[in-house]
Amino acid sequence: MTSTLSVERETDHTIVPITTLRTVHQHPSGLDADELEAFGKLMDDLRNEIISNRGKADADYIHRVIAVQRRLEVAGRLALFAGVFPPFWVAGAAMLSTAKILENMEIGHNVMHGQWDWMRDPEIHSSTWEWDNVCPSDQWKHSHNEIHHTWTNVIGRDRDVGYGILRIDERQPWSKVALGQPVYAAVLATLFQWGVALHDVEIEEVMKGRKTKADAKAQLAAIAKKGGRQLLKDYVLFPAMAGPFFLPVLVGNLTANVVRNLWTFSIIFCGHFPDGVERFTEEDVVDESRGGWYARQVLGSANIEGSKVFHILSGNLSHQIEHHLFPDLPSNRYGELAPRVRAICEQHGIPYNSRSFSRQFGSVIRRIARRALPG
Amino acid sequence: MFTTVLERTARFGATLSSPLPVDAFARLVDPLWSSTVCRARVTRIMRETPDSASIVLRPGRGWESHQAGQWIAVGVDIDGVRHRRPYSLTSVPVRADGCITITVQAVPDGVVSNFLVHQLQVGEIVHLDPPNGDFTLGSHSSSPLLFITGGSGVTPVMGMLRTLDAADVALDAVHLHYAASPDQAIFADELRRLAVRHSGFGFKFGATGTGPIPPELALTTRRLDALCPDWSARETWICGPAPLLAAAEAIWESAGISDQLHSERFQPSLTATNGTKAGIVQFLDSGVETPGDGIRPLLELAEEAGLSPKHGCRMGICHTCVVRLNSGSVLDLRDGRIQSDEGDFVQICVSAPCGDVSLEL
Ligand SMILES: Cc1cc2nc3c(=O)[nH]c(=O)nc-3n(C[C@H](O)[C@H](O)[C@H](O)COP(=O)(O)OP(=O)(O)OC[C@H]3O[C@@H](n4cnc5c(N)ncnc54)[C@H](O)[C@@H]3O)c2cc1C
Ligand code: FES
Repeated sequence: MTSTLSVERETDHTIVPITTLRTVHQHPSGLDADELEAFGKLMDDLRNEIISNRGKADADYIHRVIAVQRRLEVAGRLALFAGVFPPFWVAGAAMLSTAKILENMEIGHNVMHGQWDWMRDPEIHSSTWEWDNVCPSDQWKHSHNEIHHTWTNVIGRDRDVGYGILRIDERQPWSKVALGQPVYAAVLATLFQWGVALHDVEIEEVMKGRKTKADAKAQLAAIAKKGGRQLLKDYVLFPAMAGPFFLPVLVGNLTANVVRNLWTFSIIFCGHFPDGVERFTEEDVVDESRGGWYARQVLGSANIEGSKVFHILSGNLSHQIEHHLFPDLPSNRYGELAPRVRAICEQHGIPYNSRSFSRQFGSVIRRIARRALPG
Repeated sequence: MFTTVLERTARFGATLSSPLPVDAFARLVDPLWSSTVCRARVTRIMRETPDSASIVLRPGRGWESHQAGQWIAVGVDIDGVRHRRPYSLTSVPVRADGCITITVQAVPDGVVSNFLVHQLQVGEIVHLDPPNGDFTLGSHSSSPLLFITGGSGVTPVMGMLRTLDAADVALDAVHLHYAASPDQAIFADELRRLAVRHSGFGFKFGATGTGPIPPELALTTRRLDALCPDWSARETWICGPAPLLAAAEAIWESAGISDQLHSERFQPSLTATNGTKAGIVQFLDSGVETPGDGIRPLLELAEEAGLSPKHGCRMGICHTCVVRLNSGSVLDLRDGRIQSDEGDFVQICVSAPCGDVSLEL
């Protein structure tokens, strides 16, 4: 297999003639075309099974999560008004943090994936949902649903590989800038919603002249508008409503936003960057079959083991493998799919990466630190 | 002055609740509080016949009153999925209790009608679209009237008659009503009582049985002459099965008085599906038409017609390509599912048109 690698798109295409790839190309899973087809068929069967039996219980689930989330948000904000009393502040900040986490993960992320579009409820629909996050929904749907989910872990195409800031893979070129990446990672984690928002502007593409300044400006304007409203709500209006007790409200809201940022950063990085998760080159995906696409999703994702509450708070992205295989199936069904997917992967010799949060997170931290250095 | 205070409060509330609308939180307290959509609570269900029921609804904020004869789209969640169907309003426009009613006849294998008649429970919430339709009396309230109805087609007429009754005008109306059998005749008792109270109202009922209409009951000029000799002098409203409507339309046409006949159909004319899959795809927003062979996905057809619809993965996973269906049916190439409801969201990268289709694209 050709291994000259660069993260530049054009060069890849000129170096490697497509025709030779077709013949010598081997899927990163090591499976041949027939095996991949058989694997893909089993995955399609699982998908069709869930589609044919999703129904009222699933609809009740998302309605319940939404109701709990909204109640928590109201209760959290009310408690913060009494935040001069420490127990109220702690309870308020905890409830608001949880509400924001639920809203971004189990609700927003999944609704925008179209997981609940089958209910045909215009109020819980991917085309209309706007989440409690500075990143405008339509921009997020582009960078996440289209780019990341189609090009999962393909270096140079999936811009989620290191978010354009961190060096994750030894095949990404090293420069001295990378030395600071443990610090960048900490900053990115703390301000994650802003990182996500700026992500789709693709500053580096604008600098390379592949994207117009006008397009980027329009996106920045949308972010400023949405972000401005979010800041106004959390840091001006709600604190102001508390009058002289504005400070505990402001700090409580800041805490909730930061807690949500740290949490989402951790879950998302644990889903794609722990040890054992593979990243791919553009040659790997040339002429990829549906079965090949499925297999790449498994190789490029990692699950986190935990309790039921943990799964819900992670937006069921703790079942990252199942989410990547079936991004538009309702998240509450990933848990029952996981052992079945795992068994099929084991039968086909496809590694299935599932460990505890501490092990996955530890290995992500080590990787970020290790790739700060050359090699 | 007062309105600006209200507006400001609304804007302030909207910023506090953003990015969600205030309704998202208001409905935690009462699902009927909404300024963006109209919902209603089922307050009573009355069985009319073994397979029909009247449903009393209390609409929430945002309900605008209707004209007798109009219909509303009712949205219900069945097995988690929202379904919408039109139903005629059978209540007077302004009831003292602020409620409205619809009357539903369960049709064999009908998804929504069977749910409404047999499963719906008092207390449940349904979704309403504003009243619609021009099958109304308009300026003819005090003209001599003739109503012809079959089966559940009696519903909009019942709304009109109740409204006329409540207005306390001297009725000059004849009503010919058909149903399969007397015990399946919705509202027959109430209509007979109405005829007793109003000397100017005549009610005639015909039981057709379940098979083809017996010849002696079929709607003909002779039968009309016998039942309502001055029928051609009356403004006429007809609602019922297609053969009944066809018969009436022919009669009124040959009498040269088609403009006196107002008709309403409950069943969509079957244009799109029926096995034939090739057809014309209309992209409404861009004003482009293109033929579809029923096999290739809409996204490809649109692109070939020169459009560049938003899309991403082109394999049905990202939902970037969803557009609203305006009319016709589409086939999901992955699992053979058919979508045919107006307003349905279609993933155009994996859906092919089934016959003629129009999309909001
Ligand atoms: C303007 C308008 C007003 C209406 N008002 C009323 C009303 O007041 N009361 C009422 O009961 N219905 C009314 N309908 C009909 C109603 O909207 C539904 O079409 C009907 O309830 C069937 O829906 P479903 O989901 O049960 O059947 P579907 O699941 O959609 O259809 C199942 C089967 O039933 C057949 N079918 C559909 N409609 C009918 C019908 N009317 N008679 C016999 N077979 C049918 C279909 O062809 C199909 O084979 C109205 C329709 C329109 C267009
Ligand atoms: S473009 Fe991906 S679902 Fe349509």
